[in-house]
Amino acid sequence: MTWLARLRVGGIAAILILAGIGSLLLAPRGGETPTAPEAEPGAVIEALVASLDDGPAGAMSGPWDLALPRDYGAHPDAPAETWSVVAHLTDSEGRPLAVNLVLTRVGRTRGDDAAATPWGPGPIHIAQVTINAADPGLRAAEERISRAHGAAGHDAASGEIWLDDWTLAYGTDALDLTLRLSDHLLRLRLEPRKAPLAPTGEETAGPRGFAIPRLEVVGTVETAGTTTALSGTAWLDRLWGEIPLPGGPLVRDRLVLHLADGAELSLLRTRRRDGRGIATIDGVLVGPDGGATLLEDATADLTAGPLQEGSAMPVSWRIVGAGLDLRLTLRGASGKEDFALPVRIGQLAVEGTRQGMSVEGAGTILLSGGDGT
Amino acid sequence: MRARAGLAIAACLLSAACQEEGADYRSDTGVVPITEQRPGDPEAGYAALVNAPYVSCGVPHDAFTRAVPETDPADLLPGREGLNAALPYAFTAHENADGVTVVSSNCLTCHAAHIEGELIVGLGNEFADFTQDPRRLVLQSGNVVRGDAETRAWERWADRVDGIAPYIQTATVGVNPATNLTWALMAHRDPETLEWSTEPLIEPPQAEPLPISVPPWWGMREKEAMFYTTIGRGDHSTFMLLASMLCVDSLEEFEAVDAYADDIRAYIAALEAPAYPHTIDADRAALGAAIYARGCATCHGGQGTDYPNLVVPLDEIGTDAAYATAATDGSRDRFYEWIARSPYGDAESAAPAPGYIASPLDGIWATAPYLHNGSVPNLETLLSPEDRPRYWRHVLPRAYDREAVGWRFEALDEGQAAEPDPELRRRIYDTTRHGYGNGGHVYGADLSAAERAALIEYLKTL
Repeated sequence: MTWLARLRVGGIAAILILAGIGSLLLAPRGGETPTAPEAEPGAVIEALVASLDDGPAGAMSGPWDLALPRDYGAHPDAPAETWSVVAHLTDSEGRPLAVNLVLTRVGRTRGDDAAATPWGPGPIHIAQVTINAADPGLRAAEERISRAHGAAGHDAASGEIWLDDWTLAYGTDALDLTLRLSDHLLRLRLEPRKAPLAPTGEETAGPRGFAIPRLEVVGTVETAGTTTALSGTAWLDRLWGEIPLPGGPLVRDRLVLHLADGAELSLLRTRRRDGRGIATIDGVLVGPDGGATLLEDATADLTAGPLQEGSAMPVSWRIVGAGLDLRLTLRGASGKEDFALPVRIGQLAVEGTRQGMSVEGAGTILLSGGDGT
Repeated sequence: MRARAGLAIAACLLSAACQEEGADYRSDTGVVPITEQRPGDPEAGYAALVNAPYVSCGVPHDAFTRAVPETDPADLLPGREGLNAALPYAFTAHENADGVTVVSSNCLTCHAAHIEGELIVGLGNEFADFTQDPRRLVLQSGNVVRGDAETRAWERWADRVDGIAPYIQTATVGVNPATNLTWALMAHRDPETLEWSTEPLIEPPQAEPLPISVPPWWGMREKEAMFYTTIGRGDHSTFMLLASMLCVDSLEEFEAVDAYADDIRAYIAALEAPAYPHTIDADRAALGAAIYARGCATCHGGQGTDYPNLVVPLDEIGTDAAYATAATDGSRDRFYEWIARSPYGDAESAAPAPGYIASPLDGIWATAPYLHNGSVPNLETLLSPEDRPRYWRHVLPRAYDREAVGWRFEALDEGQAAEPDPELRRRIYDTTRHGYGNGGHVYGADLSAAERAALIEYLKTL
C-alpha cells in the first residue's frame, strides 16, 4: 500500500478531482447494468483507444507550473487530454439553460510528418456537447469522433482547438466557444472571474491540469433565424497526461454547482463498475474569495433521492458537510444521452444553506455509470 | 456419562471457539523452548524473497507503471529478475492465469527500510502510512487500469482489500497493523480449503488495530518465537507464510509457496544486523558494556550471555499491556483455532504468553522507535523514562539523531484530539491512545547521565 500512500502525499487529492473529471468524459459502459461487451457502444471506443497503446511511457513526471493562456492550449506531448466546460446560463427571460462540452484527445501523432499519413494511427478526438433547457426546442445533444488529420486538432499560434466546426479559441482574457448542433448555433465568451485551481509545482506522476471554477459567460444561441441572448457562469476543467480511459474498473458521478453567493462546488463520486466495494467522495468547495477547501468522504455526504419515473436518474440529491446543506432538484426530464460513451446529464436547481445563510444556485450532474444512487 | 458429553458439546457450542481437544492456545511467561527449524538455502531464499509471487494479486503492471513511472535508484535491489529488476524493492511482478502481469506488494513492504542512506533488508519499516482507508487508495489506483483482463485482476485484489480494510487503519503514521490484518484475512478464509469468502466466516477482529513496531528480521537468528507475545512458535517457515495469505485461495497455491518457504526462512535467519555507520567512542562504549552486562544481558542476552528467549510478564515489564492482554484474554482464540486447523500451523503455533519477549538488541541503533508499539522515539528517551514524550511527532524531513540514537522528534503539548487538521493529526504519536502507551521498561531510570551515555554508546556497537 505504500506506493498508493506516496501518491497521496504528492497532492493526489487535487489531481484526483481532475482525473475523475477526465475519466467521466471517457467513461465506459454508461447505463444501469454492465452487459455483454458486444452490446456496448462504448466497446468501439475502448477498442480504438486500446489500439493507440501509448504505454506507460506516456506518464508525465517532473515539476510543473501552470501558465496561461499556454495551458488552455493543447499539450500534444501528453498521451491524452481533455477540455471540459459546464455552463449554467439563463436567457433574456430568465429561463435556465445549461451547456456541457467535453472535448478529449487520446493518443499522440506518430512520426514527424503526420500529414503524410492522414489515415495513419494518429490521435482520436472525441467531443460531446449537450444543451439542456426547459424549452424542448432548445435541447440538443451531439457527439463527434474524428481521427482524420486536420479535421480535429490545435493551433498554438492562433490559440485554437477544434473538431470540425466546433471551436474553442483562447487568449489572455477570455475563451470563445462556438458550437453548431442541429439547428442551433451557440456562441459563448467565457471570462475567468476566479483564479485557477491547480496543484502546481509538485512532482506527481498523475495527470496535470487546472480548473477555473467561475467564468462569466455572455453569448447567444441562434435557432431558425432567431437569436437569443444568454448569460451566466461556467466551470472550466483542463487536464492532460495519464488520464483514465475506457476499459477500466470504475464509474463516476460528478456534480458542478454555481451558487448565487459566489461559491462553487465540484464533487466527484467514484465507485467500482462491478458494484462491489465502497463509493468515495472527492471534491472542492470554492468560496466567494476563491479560497478552496478539499472535500472527502469524512467532510461531505452525498445522498440521492428517489428515481425519476422511467429513468435511472434520481430526481433529487442532498449534500451535507463543509458548511453546506444543499438540496438539488432535477429540472424537468433528463435521460441518457445516446453517445458512444453514454452519460446521463441532469440540470439542477439548488437551494439550501452555506455557512448557515440561505443560498440558491444552479447545477449539473453527470452520471457515467450505474443509476447514480 | 451421556449427560456429561452433552454438556461438553453444549459448552463447546456456546464458546466463541470450539477448540481442538487439549489445546488452550496459551504459553507461560519465561523461556520459550527451542524448536529445530527446517534447513534451507539462504541464497535461494533471497532469490525467492525478491522475485517469487508469494503475494499473487495486485495492480496490473501497466497501471502500476502509469502511476509510478520511475523507480528511485535507491529503491532498487540486486538479484532481481525480469521486470522485478526495475521495480521498487517492495514490489514483485508476475503473470497471472489470465496472462496479466500483476505487481504485488512483497514482504519488504514492511521488512526493508532506508536508514542513514542505506537500504537495509530486514529492517522494519517504521514510516509506512496505514492511517488511510485502503479502499480509497485502491479506488484511486483503478483510475489507471485499462482492459478487461486487467480489470479482473484489479477486482480480485480490490475484493481482498475490501475484506480487510475496516481492520487495518492505524491512528498514527509509522505503526503497523499486521496482526489485525492477519486476523481479518483469517475471518474471510476457510482454514482447511483456504477458499476466500466475501462475507466473514468467523467474527473479524476489532476495527481499530493495536499498533506494533516491526521487529528486525535479523533477530530471527536467535528467536524461538517470531512475535512479541510469542505467537509463531514451532515451525517458522510455514507460519510466516501467513504474510502471503492475501491472495492464496487454495491448498495448491499454499503448497507452491511453502515449497520455498524453508529457503526464505534460512535467508532471514542468516541476516546480520547492520553496523552502526558513524564513529563510536570505544572507551565510553567499554564503560557501557559493563553497565549492559549488569542490567540488560539477563533478558536481552549478550556480554557472554546467550540470548535467553525470555518472556517477561506484563506486571514486571510494565509496558503497554493492551497488545498482550488482547492476545491472551480469549478474544483472539478463534484465530488461534483457525491456525491450528489450517496448513499454516498447529495448536502450538499461536500460543501467546501474557507478557512480551525481550528482543535481541543486535542493530538496535537502527530500529527506533522503541518498545513493541514504537512509542518511544530514541534510546535517550527509552532510558530516561521521565523524559519520554507524551505526544510527539517526527521532525520532517525525518532525521536520524546520532546523540540520542533514534529519531529526532518534536514534543507536543496536546494530543490527537486537539488537532483539527487530519493530515497533521495522523502524524502525532499520542501515547494516551489505547495500545499506544509509552510506560514501563523503566530500566535505566536510575542511571546517571554519564552512565546512560556510556550505555547508549555501547548499544551502538551491537
